Amino acid sequence: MISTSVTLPLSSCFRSARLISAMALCLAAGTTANAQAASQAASTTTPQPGNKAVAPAAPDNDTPPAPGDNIRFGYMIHQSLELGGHIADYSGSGAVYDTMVNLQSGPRILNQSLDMHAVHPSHAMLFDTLTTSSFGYAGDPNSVSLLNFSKGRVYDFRGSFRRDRQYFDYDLLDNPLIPPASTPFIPVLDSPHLFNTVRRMTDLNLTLAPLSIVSARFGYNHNISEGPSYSTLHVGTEALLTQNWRNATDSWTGGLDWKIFKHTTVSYDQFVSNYKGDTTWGLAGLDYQLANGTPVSLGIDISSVWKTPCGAPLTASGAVNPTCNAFLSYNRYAPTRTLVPSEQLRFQSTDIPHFSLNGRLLYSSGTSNLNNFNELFNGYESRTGFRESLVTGSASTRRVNVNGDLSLAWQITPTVTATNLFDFWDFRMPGTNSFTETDYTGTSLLAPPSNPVTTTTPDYQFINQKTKTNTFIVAWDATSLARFSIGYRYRSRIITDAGGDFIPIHENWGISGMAFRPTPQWRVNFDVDAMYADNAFTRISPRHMEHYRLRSSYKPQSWLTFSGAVNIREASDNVQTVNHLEHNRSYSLGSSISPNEKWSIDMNYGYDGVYSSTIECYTSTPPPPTATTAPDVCVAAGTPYASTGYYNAPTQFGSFGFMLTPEKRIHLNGGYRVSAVNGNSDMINIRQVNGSLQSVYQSPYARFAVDIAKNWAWKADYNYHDYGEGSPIGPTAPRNFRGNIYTLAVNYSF
Amino acid sequence: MRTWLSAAAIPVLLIGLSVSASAQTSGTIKSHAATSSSAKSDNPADYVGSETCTTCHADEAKKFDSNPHSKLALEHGGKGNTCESCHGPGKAHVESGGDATKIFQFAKATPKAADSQCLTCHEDTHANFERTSHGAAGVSCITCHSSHNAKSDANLLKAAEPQLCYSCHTDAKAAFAQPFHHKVNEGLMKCSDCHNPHGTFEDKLLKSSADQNAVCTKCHAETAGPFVYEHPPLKTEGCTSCHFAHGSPNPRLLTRNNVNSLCLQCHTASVNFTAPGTPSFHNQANQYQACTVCHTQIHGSNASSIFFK
Repeated sequence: MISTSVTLPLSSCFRSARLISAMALCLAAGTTANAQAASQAASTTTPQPGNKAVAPAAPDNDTPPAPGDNIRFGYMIHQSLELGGHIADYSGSGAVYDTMVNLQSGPRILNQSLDMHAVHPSHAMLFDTLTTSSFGYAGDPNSVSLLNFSKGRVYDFRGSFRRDRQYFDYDLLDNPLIPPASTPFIPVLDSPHLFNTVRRMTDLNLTLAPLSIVSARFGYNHNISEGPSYSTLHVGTEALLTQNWRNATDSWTGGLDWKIFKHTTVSYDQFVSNYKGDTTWGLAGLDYQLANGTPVSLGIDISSVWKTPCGAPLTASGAVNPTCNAFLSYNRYAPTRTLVPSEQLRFQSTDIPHFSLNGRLLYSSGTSNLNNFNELFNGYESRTGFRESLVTGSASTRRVNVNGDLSLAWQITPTVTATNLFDFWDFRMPGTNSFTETDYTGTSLLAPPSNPVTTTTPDYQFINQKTKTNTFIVAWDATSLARFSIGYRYRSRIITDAGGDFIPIHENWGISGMAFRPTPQWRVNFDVDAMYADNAFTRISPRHMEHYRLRSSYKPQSWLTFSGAVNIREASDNVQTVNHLEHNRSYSLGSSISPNEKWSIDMNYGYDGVYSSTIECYTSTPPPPTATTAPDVCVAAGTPYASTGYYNAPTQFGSFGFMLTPEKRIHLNGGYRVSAVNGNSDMINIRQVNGSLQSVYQSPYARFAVDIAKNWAWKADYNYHDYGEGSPIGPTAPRNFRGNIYTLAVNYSF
Repeated sequence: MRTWLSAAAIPVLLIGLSVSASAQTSGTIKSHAATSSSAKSDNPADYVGSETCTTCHADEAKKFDSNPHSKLALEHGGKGNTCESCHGPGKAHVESGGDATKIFQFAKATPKAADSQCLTCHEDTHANFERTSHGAAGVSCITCHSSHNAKSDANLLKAAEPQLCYSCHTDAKAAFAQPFHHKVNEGLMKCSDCHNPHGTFEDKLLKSSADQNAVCTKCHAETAGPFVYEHPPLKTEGCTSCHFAHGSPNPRLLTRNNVNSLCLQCHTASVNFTAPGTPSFHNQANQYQACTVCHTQIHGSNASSIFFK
């Protein structure tokens, strides 16, 4: 963004109005800040306690404004507004383009920013600093506004509003992959779980008296997600449902920070979160007719090969066979309300010489209620003879959570530090429900529902977990260039559930780390964690794990940076009949060359090898070519075939970017990014294809900006998105696409 | 075995490099240590005031107007100080004609010394920073923050997120470039939405929700529950049992491209595991292409123990 500051001699009325409008716009749009940021702000500017009583007076920031500064109402003001639009032109799969890019043609408010800094902060009335910025309004899938303002030691406010459209239609996901040999062949071309929802998230955080001994924090978060989507339901056949997605969460935070001693702060936080789930479900469409003209849905699985929804779903006349599995109508409501109050007490202290402590105690007790569940199915399920069913009922669940954490660091000598961290985490989640179901039977879709049978079924479930973790680490600053640390972690987990399971897991960890600074410009870190557990909750939970991390950053000149990382995680649960192995081996490099304001270059390369395999048992008629004989326990369970569960995803990433300013008024940017994966997996379903597991996603880009007049800049931006899969398409729609996005904009900075 | 050997070779190499570099640069480092003058003094006479600093450091002083640290001047009825709050008493520096060794220089100080200076004021929100993975790795406050040349107003970052984080976490940059990823590069999310770089009580510097649920549930609120029928690994093992956090070649950031294969990893008959095996009537050659076609409410349900509704 080009920003030029000038003093404008014209009347300030028009600009003032515009300024206020911009601020109002941002305020209306919502805003926020994350809680961490606010809490950071709370401590931003406490003076050095050792000095504050004796230090001489400092000037009141009365640095005179420079001649070019735009001063209005006692504030130094910088603003910019960037208007323009996109021209989007793409070919291939529009569904996947929208899933991955979703930039469309049309005018846009591309960027906006406003900075106001009081020339004399002590004279400013409402605020001494205000910054706001926005991007992506008027049609882009992602729109963000930020607003921060503060008034000295009185308050600090941070806010944000974020809106994003979640379009998802990757057609392989949850697609029944209808065999082309089906008669008739009715492929499912979109994902049955297509989403087109919008999430709006507002975060507001206010800290009062951020520099005082006692400061107060207030926060509010609003998160709403809504929009149409598809889902499916199995009753004889898999009906395609319209899932009208709508859930909203409001969260409030109130907190106090009390600097009880010079280096001791105690904080109390009260959180209240209120969730409202109002998603509803109904049939997406009735595509066929019975002989009497009644509309009916056969679902998404229509295949003569596997005889669904029945052997012959359509009669010679084209009407639906009335003894087929089918839906005549369906709807479901499950209004859910969850209230979660939480309290937290934190403290930190360094008042005891050579010791630093911090800890917290958190208690949360949430209740979720589903009071008016209602589900109506009208159709026919041939296996059970169900003709209609009505389910009503309610459910109530609690989540009681207790956390206690205490950290103690002891500076034993100037070079040796011992740290102990104890974490306690206990949650229990008991839940009950009671549903009354009235089932009607019938002989066909044409026969009326009859013989109602009503049953009421209560249920009680729970899952609990108690976790205790103690981590002890000794760190030794061997020289000013090298630090070594070694430690031990013990973790105990006990998981219990309503099924009578009692699962204790004991983990033993060895932890070591090395941090080197061979020169002031070169930093190298190497860490190794190794874990052994005597039990595992799931088949893919590791009993053995090793994690190696090497990171290095070298900055020989202020304009030259090299960095690299090796991140290797090896894990296994290699017990009999499971033999789970996995690794994630990542190697990456980056460099940045920025010698002056005229040009810079940025280059990155990364390789990430993700692998896992687990013995997986299943039944299949006929078995796929890769099937092997399953272990006895699987055969006994009626799943006689086994797969290695092989999954391998070697991914390479490369990027190159440059910036060039051949003369002061011309700015050029360009680059290229590519992520390519050439993976493979063991397919149980013979119609499954690798899809995105063998794909290349590349996006070269170029940007040009020229200052066309004082305060005015013209910008042109080109982005190319190319997504291609190397594997066969499968019995769905193709997923490759190419997209050209041209963005033209005018930027006015004043 | 090869991994073990590689792992063993790396620290040996590093120690060698460190020793070598130590021999070459010890003089330099000692010199640097000497340049970082004490940042504390109880003698008021050791302080000269910011006006004096401005005499030579006019550029820094001008930029400082919009710096949150300028609020220090508002302390004590407008008699707080600014430059010397961080750089220590300036009298010796001034009297020596600007000798850089007579004032505390962050760039020349060790990470721990620089952190110590910042944490004098910021310790209440960054408690025990030295314990965190960043602190332990020698990543100091000034690695990410710059009081005088911040590129991002918020929190005085040297560069805006995510570029700042990518400068070390080059592997994360690659992950977010994959076809399916959280919208960090698009500017919708920041690394600090999920991670607190100053430390938390969680692994990977992860934040958590107020009720100690996974940080994911702040946005994906519908998965938080509690549900009568929980999918237990979500609560005990975490979302990453099935999803990558940053990016994935697979839709929905799944850890596998085939949903059935993902589910069968756990839902295979075996001894000593509570997860039920796949029923024998789930014929994989027939219509059961994806488990989630029927088990749609896989994150939890109040009405169906098999997550149908």
